[in-house]
Amino acid sequence: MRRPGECFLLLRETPLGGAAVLLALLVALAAWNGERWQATRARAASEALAANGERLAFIEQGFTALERGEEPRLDPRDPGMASWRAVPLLAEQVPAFALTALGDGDVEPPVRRVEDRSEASVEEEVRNPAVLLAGRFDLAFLVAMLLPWFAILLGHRLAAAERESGRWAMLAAASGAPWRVLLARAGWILVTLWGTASLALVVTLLALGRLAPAELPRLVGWCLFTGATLAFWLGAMLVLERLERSAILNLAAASALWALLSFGVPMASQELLLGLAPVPPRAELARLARAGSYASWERRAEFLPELLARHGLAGTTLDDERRGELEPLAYALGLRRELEPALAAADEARAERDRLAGRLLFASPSLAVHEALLRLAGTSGLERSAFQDELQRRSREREAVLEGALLADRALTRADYATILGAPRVEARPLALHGLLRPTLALGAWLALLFLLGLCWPARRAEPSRSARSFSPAEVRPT
Amino acid sequence: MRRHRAIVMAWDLSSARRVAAHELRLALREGPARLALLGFLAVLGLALWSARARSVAEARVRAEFAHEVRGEWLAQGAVNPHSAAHFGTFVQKPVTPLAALDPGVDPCMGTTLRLEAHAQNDLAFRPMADAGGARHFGLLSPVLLVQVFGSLLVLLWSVSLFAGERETGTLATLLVSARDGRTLVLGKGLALAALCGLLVTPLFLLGAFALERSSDLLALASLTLAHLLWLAGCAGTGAWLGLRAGSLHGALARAVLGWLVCAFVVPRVAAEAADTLAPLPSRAAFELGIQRDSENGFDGHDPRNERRKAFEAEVLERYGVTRTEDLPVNFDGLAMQADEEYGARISAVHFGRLWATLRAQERAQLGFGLVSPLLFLRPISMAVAGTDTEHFLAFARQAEAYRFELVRFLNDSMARNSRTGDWDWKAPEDTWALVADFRAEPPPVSAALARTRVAWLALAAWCAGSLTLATRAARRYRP
Repeated sequence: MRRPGECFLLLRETPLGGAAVLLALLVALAAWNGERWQATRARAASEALAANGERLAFIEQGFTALERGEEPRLDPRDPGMASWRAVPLLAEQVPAFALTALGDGDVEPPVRRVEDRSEASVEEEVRNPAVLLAGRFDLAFLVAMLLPWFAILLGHRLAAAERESGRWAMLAAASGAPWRVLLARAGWILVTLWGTASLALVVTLLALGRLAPAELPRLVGWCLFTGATLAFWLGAMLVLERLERSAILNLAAASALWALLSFGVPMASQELLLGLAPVPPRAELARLARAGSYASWERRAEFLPELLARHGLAGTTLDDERRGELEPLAYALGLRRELEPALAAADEARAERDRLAGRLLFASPSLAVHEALLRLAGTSGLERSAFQDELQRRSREREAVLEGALLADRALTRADYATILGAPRVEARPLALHGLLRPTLALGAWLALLFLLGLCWPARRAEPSRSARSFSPAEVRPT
Repeated sequence: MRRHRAIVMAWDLSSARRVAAHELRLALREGPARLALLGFLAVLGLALWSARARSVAEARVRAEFAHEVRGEWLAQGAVNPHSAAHFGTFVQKPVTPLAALDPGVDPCMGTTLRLEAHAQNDLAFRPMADAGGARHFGLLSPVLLVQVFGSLLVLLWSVSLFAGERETGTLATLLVSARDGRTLVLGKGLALAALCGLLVTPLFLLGAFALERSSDLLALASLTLAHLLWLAGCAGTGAWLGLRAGSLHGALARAVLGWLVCAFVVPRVAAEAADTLAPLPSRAAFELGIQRDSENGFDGHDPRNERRKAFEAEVLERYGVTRTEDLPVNFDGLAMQADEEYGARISAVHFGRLWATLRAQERAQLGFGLVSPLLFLRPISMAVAGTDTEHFLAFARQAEAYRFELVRFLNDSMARNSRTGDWDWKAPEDTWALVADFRAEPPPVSAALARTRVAWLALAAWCAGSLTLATRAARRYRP
């Protein structure tokens, strides 16, 4: 860094300027594409909420009709009717910064039905599988998979070019410590690429109107992880340079390293996850839910005494009409009982998969950076789990109101519907720093490993070529 | 004269073979090249083993699932046929033997479909949704390794084969020792062809091992040929770069950059562009469209529905009675079937539009093949492996036809065997065995080949073009 002249040299001798422009364009394109995805998801959520709003219009129409003394088509006071007609939707809000990493946003729907898990149907957004297969062009992909190539292509011949052009000895003689010159050059590449990527993101966010003050911690985190990624790959190039091989071999070795860390390990980790922590297929859960649903309906009369006993109504005599009103509750109880083991096993399998996936972050810096960027963007598995928890909480609240009204034989009011329907959107979670701990540790471990390698890996002594060795003065010295 | 020319040709070919053998020996002797080749083959072997193991495990899970579903269908006991229609069933897309080599869109689409009365369901249960964050790096498959990393190996080796001789100054000697420049180029070309064959052979062998029917041999041959064309095109491009290069390092850097763009950037950009050019509706908008059309349509469950009333009048007139109770058949069964037929027409319109959009997106993606020929190869590979979107659509059409027949059988059973209003009537237990199990027939390979003819032509044209360019550049292959 103390050598600003190196920057001018780099600009003259390497395509650093062109690379910076290309990187800025790619960052802007990826951010714009992320914004497009978020807009699509927001539109899908609005359409779903609007459609559900139409379905729920009967509630207000019913109360209005009752106030006018008319007979409503569907009586909103009836809890039994409300339990199957008044199913609200809940939309997941994501932070504005979510445009930087889409996560599972390409397969998971932006809205879910607030209902008991045992009744939850599979809801998946309409997507073209061929488009899903290609993967998303977002900033997480850009930083984890493409950014390393900027470092590789610009950094693989920092010293090799000097050696191959015969300037290395001159550099050593002139500076006394040529490695410092190389470090300065690597530093300038790092600063240029890092500054370009960060600036391009800031400008794009401003242009898209997405840079709110609340997003600043996420932006800072993004810049830090991007810088760490560049530092890792430029560091790797410097370590390779210590082997004093040719630029071509450096390029080949760096390509192999990238293929291993950004492609091989992530794919192998997927295979490991599938093999070691398999999650029950969704189709199997759907089959169990279907079978359980029909079995519980057939056996609803068996669960009715238990339901009454739970609510302190054991021994109550029910007429046919009352029995008919309460049987759906008994059915729901039976269904939960029926599916609980399978759902608990699926939860356990998912938790085990997430634990293993967390450990596998240490296997590759690309995996760690990608996960960190997802967590910064608020689109990681942590946020999905939190959303699921909120769905369950809302579902329990809704059921408590409906069950209470049914058992007390009480008519529902507008106030009850305020609880049953709730707010249609869940606010985005604030940035949780503890979620970044593991990816940070993983990336830190890789940087530390690189630093140790750089320090401890002895530089290969520059061996003269075979022809030069044949004619070395030592060999021709007269005996 | 002709004899003399034949002798010269034979001599040339023999020299070319010697050159090829020499190049292969040299490559195997060089540490980095040997390491890269062996590493690639080892990873490919692991991927093939993993693919085979996964396909065996999945086949077991699918068989168990099918067995359970059939068992549940048969064990319904005596229930009303319309209840059985609502209970429905699950069907699975058949997995072709070559899906182990190229799983295509299987992980992005799911292979299970729920069939039930009144609704044509979309394919759901995507395995990708449970794959975790690492899926964003790509989904491992043997063909992906050949398409992406096999092409890199071929590209880099072809560049260094031609540019390396010039760089090291051995070209002049070689041109003197070889009979002419063309023999030298031909020999190097043969060495490259051997490498391409070596990379594709494991795919062919595993495919041949997994084949179940002789008709699959055409699919395997097509898959192998398409990959050979792709690798040959890469070899031609690399040779062209190497033959024209001023320096080996520059040519290699350009080759790596081009590979990166073609293999990672363009496919993702093409997918995003296709999604933007032909946007899909959201799930909510799609379902709302069907719901709105259904509201104005036939509702077999609602006696106040206008179309149902008109249908009732028509049936009464047909049977010459004035009340549905006097009909010799159960009017509810007839109404359910009329409802089903109306609903099927609505679904056909909406799903037809949806599928047309999917096809438009895939055409848009194919257009990007002009920038990255990999996008010509992928549709061919998936089509002949039976894992492209068209195979899913064919499966969905067959499943819908089966669903329609199943529901018709059940509604007919209800109509013929019970009286109007008798919803308590139950079909005997042996009724369910009369419903044959679903057997999907995948489209023939010839249909896949015909459908991908544009991609075939484009891939062949690109391959021929790159080889022609390389041949022309070879005329000026001098030190």
